[in-house]
Amino acid sequence: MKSLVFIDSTEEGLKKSDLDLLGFLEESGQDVVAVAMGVKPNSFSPEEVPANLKSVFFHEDLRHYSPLGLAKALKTVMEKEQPQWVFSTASLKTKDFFPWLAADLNYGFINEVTDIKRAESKILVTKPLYAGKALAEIEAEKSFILVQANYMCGAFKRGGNPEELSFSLPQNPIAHQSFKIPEKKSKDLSEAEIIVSGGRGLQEPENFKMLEELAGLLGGEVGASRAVTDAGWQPYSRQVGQTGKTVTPRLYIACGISGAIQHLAGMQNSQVIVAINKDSSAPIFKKCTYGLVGDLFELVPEMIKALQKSS
Amino acid sequence: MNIAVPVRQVPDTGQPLKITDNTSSIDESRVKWILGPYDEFALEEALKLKPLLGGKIFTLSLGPERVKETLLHTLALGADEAIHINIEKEVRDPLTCAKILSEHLGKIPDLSLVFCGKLAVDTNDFAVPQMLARLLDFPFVTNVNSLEFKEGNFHLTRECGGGVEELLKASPPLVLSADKGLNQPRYPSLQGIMKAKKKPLQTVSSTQVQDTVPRYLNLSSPGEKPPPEMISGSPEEQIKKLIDFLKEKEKLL
Ligand SMILES: Cc1cc2nc3c(=O)[nH]c(=O)nc-3n(C[C@H](O)[C@H](O)[C@H](O)COP(=O)(O)OP(=O)(O)OC[C@H]3O[C@@H](n4cnc5c(N)ncnc54)[C@H](O)[C@@H]3O)c2cc1C
Repeated sequence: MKSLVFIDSTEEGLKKSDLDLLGFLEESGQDVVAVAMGVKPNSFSPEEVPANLKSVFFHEDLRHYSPLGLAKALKTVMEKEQPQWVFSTASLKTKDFFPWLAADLNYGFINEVTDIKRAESKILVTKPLYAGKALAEIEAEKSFILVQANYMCGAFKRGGNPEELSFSLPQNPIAHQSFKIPEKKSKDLSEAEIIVSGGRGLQEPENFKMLEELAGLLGGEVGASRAVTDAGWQPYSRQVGQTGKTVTPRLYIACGISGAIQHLAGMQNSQVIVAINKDSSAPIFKKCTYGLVGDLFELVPEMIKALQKSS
Repeated sequence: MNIAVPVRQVPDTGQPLKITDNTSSIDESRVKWILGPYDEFALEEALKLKPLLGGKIFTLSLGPERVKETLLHTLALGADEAIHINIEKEVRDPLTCAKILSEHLGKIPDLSLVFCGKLAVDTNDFAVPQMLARLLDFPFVTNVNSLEFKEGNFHLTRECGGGVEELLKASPPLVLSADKGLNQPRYPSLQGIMKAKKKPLQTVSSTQVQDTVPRYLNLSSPGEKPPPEMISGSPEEQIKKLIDFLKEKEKLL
């Protein structure tokens, strides 16, 4: 029984977390093929192409919000490949159109999966419920499955020669008007590999410059608690938590964040969590990998200095 | 033009939860239930749109007897009619929810807008609105964080990742899902609470299959994390040790 991996394609290239997932599924012995869709990458080096990438579909209209266009394109590929399961990483794009297609094809849809087990003809997946207070085990027969980014990673086999598909997209009922691009464009938090997050302990919006600097040195992004986004110190797109983004970076550094249950809900599945907080009884210290009790106004600059020295 | 707002009753987010001994659900005996936080944004926006679109606001929810309380709350906030789809079993699978809801949405006359929250905070699924769009054959826009209705069209903004926003135009009929930032939800007024008791709240049953694919097998508690490595010393020493751990042990830097 076959699995199909949907790989998101943008000007910058094929999405890394989707390629990691393809590698993971290959390594775990699944019968897997992949399709890449979206905007044509600016550069596309042949030696980087996954061996199992069977087809690609690029269309200029996919630059704009077009869930039905993506759904139709993926449906066309599914008709050919007849997959039992369709995988990708959870992003604003996949979460948007996968459910529509699931309803269209009467497939299941399971979001934000953290573990996949194969049991004969079935796949068992694990998904957190109730903000991570419970884990559900789900038996997926025919399903669309979205996994949290950076969670299931492997090295994919290279050397593919995908067929470039071409067909027209359906009329888009939603008309694109324009994009509003923030001054500092950043990677979407749910895909970031390193996040430096700040809470109310930062005291003032200006102090986030310090976190920007640290994130820059680490090649990561800046996140925030709700206390911070509610106060308007950071845009809502950077809020981590139950009513913000669910993030699973390799490294999450929480500075001046107490660790309220709703914040933990969004980041507790990060691989390594570093907590910097002056209050040794802050709940964040129960969920972290490394805890530093101290003043963030001393520790963060110290870390910046140390990283500058070593680079 | 009527508006429907499907809502989900969810456990209040701050409380601890216990899993029942048969691992099929959570122990509900001490749970405080609330209207889903994103559903609040959807209902608030529907209330603001009602004078512009005309018609009524219908709220719908599926679940056991207890969800009536949440529906009553939506009536107190200003919805006109509420429909309780009575189902004893907890339905977590989004497609099953969508099928049950669409059966009843299909009965609302002159339905031009279905406004949902972008996700339910218990399952985190981000799926029912798009599924409803397919089942009702309406176009959809998810993750809406600003909206204006002008000359028969919706002018919408949605976040599309990394803080980038896309401005879109669409016309009814439509399914929308609300993100935070769309509005500031109101609290029910005393008068609203009094009036709610006289508004129609009907209970209906569902003919849709309740056995869901994919199947939820069981729930478990997440394992305890190993205790953290607490790093002490002067700030300089703390950072030095941290960076060593991140480099040597975690191979991160
Ligand atoms: C329905 C609902 C949904 C919610 N969703 C979210 C969500 O998605 N995300 C989210 O984050 N929250 C969410 N919350 C809010 C959450 O409950 C907390 O209020 C919030 O996370 C607190 O943010 P904070 O940790 O930044 O602030 P605080 O709780 O005020 O913590 C500040 C911390 O900074 C520390 N500190 C202060 N000064 C320093 C210093 N100089 N050096 C080091 N440490 C210092 C303090 O010791 C303290 O621990 C939600 C709440 C509700 C009710």
